[in-house]
Amino acid sequence: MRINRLWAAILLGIPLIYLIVFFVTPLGMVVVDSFSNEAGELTLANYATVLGEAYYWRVLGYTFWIALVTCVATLILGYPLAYYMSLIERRRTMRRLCFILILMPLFTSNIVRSFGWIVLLGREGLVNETLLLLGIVDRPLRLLSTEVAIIIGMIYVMLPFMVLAIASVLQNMNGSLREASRDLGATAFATFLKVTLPLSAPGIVAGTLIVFTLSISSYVTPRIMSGGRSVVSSMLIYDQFMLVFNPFLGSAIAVVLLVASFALIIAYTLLMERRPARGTST
Amino acid sequence: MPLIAIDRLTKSYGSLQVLKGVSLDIEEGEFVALLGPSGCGKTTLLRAIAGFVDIDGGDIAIGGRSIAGEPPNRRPVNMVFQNYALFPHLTVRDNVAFGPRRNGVDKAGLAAIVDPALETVGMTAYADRLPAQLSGGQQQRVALARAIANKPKVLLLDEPLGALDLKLRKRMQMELKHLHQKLGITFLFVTHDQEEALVMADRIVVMQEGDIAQVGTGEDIYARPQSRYVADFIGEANLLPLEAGPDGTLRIAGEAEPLPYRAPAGAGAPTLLVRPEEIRVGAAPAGGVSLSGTLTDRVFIGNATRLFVKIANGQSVVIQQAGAGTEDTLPAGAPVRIGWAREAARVLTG
Repeated sequence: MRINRLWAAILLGIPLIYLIVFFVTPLGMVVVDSFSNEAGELTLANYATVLGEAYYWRVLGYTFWIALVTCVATLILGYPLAYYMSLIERRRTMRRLCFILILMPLFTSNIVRSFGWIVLLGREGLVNETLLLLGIVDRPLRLLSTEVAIIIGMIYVMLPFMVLAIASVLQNMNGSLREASRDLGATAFATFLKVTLPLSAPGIVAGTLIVFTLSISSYVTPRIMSGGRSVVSSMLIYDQFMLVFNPFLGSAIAVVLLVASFALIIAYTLLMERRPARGTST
Repeated sequence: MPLIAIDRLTKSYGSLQVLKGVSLDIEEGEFVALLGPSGCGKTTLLRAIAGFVDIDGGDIAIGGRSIAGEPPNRRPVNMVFQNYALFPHLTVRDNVAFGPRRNGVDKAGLAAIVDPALETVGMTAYADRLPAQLSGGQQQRVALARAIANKPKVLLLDEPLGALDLKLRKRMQMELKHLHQKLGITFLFVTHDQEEALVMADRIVVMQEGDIAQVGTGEDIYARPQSRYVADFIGEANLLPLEAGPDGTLRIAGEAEPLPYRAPAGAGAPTLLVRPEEIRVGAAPAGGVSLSGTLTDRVFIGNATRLFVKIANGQSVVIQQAGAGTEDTLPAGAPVRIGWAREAARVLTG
């Protein structure tokens, strides 16, 4: 299809204007705010606070830690699921059903889903009731408001993204490659290690990037699941804006989080791009 | 003892029976083509030998040992896939080394296997390229090198030339034939292209709806097909329905003259097979068959001329004359006599 210059300009222009108005501008304002104080003067005081106090480093580190654990856990749980859906299950209807089941949680609000976990994990929740009834424990376990609870909640929210990213790559993989591997003498496991896994690397990279970035910025799940006990960066930012009414410090935390995330993602992408280019070690 | 013994092999997908008790023996060093249209079961048979299809019944033995229950990686066969199935993340060298590595060949041994394999197919200069950087023909060669690197007892080839253009295909046909002579490995080759089968194979297995229709050398099958199906599939055939008289004589439907042929006993409706190049314009030699008809078309195709003659029953008979067809100068629409020697035609009942 041929598009003339005017149409091209319009088609590119609309999303561009949208991005500038609703993304670049607010982001710019956040950056400007992060260098300001209440009097409207330019200052580095906000960054001095964020970068100077150990508390903020701990929260930042904790945020990345939660994101990393979520990433690894969804990869470990999601890969077999994606593998099953795309390579083992041959019936079309079953595959569709799998996709619908994977996608279904996304139709529900994050808040509702997180409260669902409270019903399950609370002191008088289903899990504790069952454990007590079976006599496995004699006092209800504290499951909510722990790091484990946050991670369980995060895995649950993020799993679909990981599964879909990996499944889309596995599904498009030429099936005769696995046959060729078996034909040449590789066991099923060696075929997975030497053929399927390396060729699904783009899906793993995409999935981990999506899950990692979404986890870093997620707010609702950590807030509800932690009961306010553990603090991640997004909660800190929210509190600065909405409770403490210090948008300047909040902006500085946001910018630090943004820059740190970017640095990590760029480093990760470079690492993954360099590595699998030439696999000489089969 | 045959190298490959396939015994009453059956396979169904749901209610569709794709292999209906196929039995076939293949000798060591043979080049055998499995020939048939799509859906005849030839690829299923090949994949059953490779181990990618679980058979329902029957047995496959290689070198006297049944391999029916063995996984693909434990079978002494290797396959060249239809679209080559080269590992896109590995270089040409690593693709070829994949098999030997899985079989525990050490570093020193690898070079001694991979280098000659690449040299055999003329791809030494491309050893460090990735498959995506190669042309279709080059990928084909790498796929061959990869399959022979394991020194299989049988090389299975699944329409390996299907993706190449005509010129390259013709060249690769001869190269494959030479490769077969050089390696001495048994080749089992799936194709739907009768010419490809004729060019390369020592023996052709014509398949029809999950069963073997006929097995034989190319000459054998072309000259003595046992059924209409085989006659039609290999080469071009004029198939004329016959009517049997009460006294056992045969007539072409719509013709009065009885033919100098007899119907084989106890068989189905007879058909006369005459190859287009066997028919002459003009009267037949003594003892032969002559027919009258109308010349409908005359087509020059370079190395030959084709005439289309409508005979009394309305059927169109194709005649192929070498060169420009100077035997006659009849215009289209003219009445014409055609004929063939007695032994040039065959009565088919299958």
